[in-house]
Amino acid sequence: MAEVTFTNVQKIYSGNIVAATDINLTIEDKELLVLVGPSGCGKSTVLRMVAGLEDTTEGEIRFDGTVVNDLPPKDRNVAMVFQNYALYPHMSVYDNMAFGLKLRKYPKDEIRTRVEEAAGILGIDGLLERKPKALSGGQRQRVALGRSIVRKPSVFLFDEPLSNLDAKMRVQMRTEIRKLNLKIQTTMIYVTHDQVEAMTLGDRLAVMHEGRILQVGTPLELYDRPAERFVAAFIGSPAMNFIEGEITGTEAPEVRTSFTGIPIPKRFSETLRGYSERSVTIGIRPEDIYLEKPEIPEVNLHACPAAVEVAEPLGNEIIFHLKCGDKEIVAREPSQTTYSVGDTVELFLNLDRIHLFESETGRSLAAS
Amino acid sequence: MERRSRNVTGIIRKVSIYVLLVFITLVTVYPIVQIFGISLRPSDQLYSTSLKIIPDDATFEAYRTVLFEKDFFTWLRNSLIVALSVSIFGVALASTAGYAFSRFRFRGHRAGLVVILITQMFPATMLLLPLYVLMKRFGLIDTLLGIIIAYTATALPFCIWTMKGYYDTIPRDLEEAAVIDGTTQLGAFLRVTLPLSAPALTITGLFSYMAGWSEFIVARVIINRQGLYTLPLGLESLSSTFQTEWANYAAGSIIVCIPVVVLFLLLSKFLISGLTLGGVKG
Repeated sequence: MAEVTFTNVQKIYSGNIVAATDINLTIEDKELLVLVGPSGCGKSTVLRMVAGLEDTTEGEIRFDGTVVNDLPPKDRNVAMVFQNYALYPHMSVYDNMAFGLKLRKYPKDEIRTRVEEAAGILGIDGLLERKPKALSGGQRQRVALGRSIVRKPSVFLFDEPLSNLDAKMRVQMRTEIRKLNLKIQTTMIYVTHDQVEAMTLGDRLAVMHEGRILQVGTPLELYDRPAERFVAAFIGSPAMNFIEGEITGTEAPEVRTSFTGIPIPKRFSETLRGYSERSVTIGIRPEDIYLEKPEIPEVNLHACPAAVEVAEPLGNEIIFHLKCGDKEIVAREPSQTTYSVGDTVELFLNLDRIHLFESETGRSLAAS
Repeated sequence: MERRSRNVTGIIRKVSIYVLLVFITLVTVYPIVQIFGISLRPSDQLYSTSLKIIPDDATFEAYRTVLFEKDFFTWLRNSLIVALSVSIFGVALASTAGYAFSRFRFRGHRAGLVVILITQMFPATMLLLPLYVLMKRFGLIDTLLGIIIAYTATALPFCIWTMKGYYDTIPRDLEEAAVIDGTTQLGAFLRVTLPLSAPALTITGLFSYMAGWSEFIVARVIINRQGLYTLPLGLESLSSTFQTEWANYAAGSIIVCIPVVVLFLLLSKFLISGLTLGGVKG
């Protein structure tokens, strides 16, 4: 059990390569926080600094208020699950799980009890005598989890643990990790580049990009109120549509884009004071675009013509790739929508659901 | 039709491969068989040029002579001391130096590796004179320590490269996992990396052992005292200016070969790699 706090943490590799900077973050006790971002964004570096596998160049990392910067990994009481499992190939499953306890000189009986208990939780009781090479990917990752559980660490670290599994096993293990978190009530930091994994697992998410944390929040906060264009684009699949344009008019301002003028809802008028003639980007999620006029009362819609380029039926829904002028727009529609490639349709943008971003900085111009 | 022609090509391929293998085996085995034949010759046929493998009146007399009438056991003891010391030093130094070259980046990392490789390009004979001078200065002439040092130095470059290459294939994650599990970097090396390197350690050990077991020329230069003769020196002493006891010589050679062959057979199962399979995604 531990609360992990980062204060102005920075990691600079030799050659002035900034891996992480301005990391200020508190991970609460028993929380599952997901660090998510594209590869090379610094998320693994942050995790490895918590583990003690990397030094911090600057700033402090605290466990429950105690600075751990100078503690070697073995004295931090953390456990880590690696992407490639990192099981010791020359040891049996039992010995793999018992290794950490043996190093800490636990009595034999206690080790056996703990290993068997963990094996029970993970459903690998029958595999204890096997060597890692005789296990499937999913089983190996369970052993790696088991090796971490037996130690009863104060912080659990996951470094893309599901990336090497096939799609089906990944979904299954995801649920198991979530269950585990609820069951053993330990602080967990989970690194992934997969936003679906992040959304489904995390109590909170921290989105990282180019060494910085852009936004921290619950999955829905990030989805509904992204603070940056990057976050908006990263979270959600298919990704949010972005339409560049310029603000014109002061009384009834609209965003002039290459194919249509999109009126700006009143809720933005405070924030947009003084933004006249400046470039902004409209963000709208695929599910907020309709090919048929929806029957939602008092909804603010904007209609424009479009041509269907590709239709991807997924069973429960259809993803349409449309062309509005020279702009490609993606819309998510119910499966009974019956347009086909080449059709000209009328698009309805739900203006109550749009996001506005400063084109230059990517900062959100959230309605006040 | 097509399948049949493919079958025929397959058979031709197989046959030619086997013919080649049989030929190579003959070429390799013939001298050994011949030496064995010579070792069995009774003394009246010592200078025979007959190519018969088992001579008429074959006898093991030469083996008895070499083992019990010569200083064979002294040579054997010296050779064992030298070869075992060289393999212990070789493995100890190569396993640690190779680890440093594989895991850490330091000033002179690349240059060090290259220099080590370059030393392999000089023939040992070229080094004889400087080696002699060096040993003389350190007072190591006519000591087993002298040749142990010389052999270790010549075996090390190959061993370091072998170990480095092998460590490179062992994922760092394993050591990081061990460090997080509660050991130090040294602990991770000793408990995880080293056991996994058994195949490379075996090769390194065997190579070092061979370097000490069968070397002649350096020993000839450094060792003069008969009591310090190693097996190759001892064998050579069987041939004198006026007379060479070929049967004894051959019998000695066969006896010297046996331990090495046995070692290879015993260790062959460690020589297969693939021990790291399964620890990480494979």
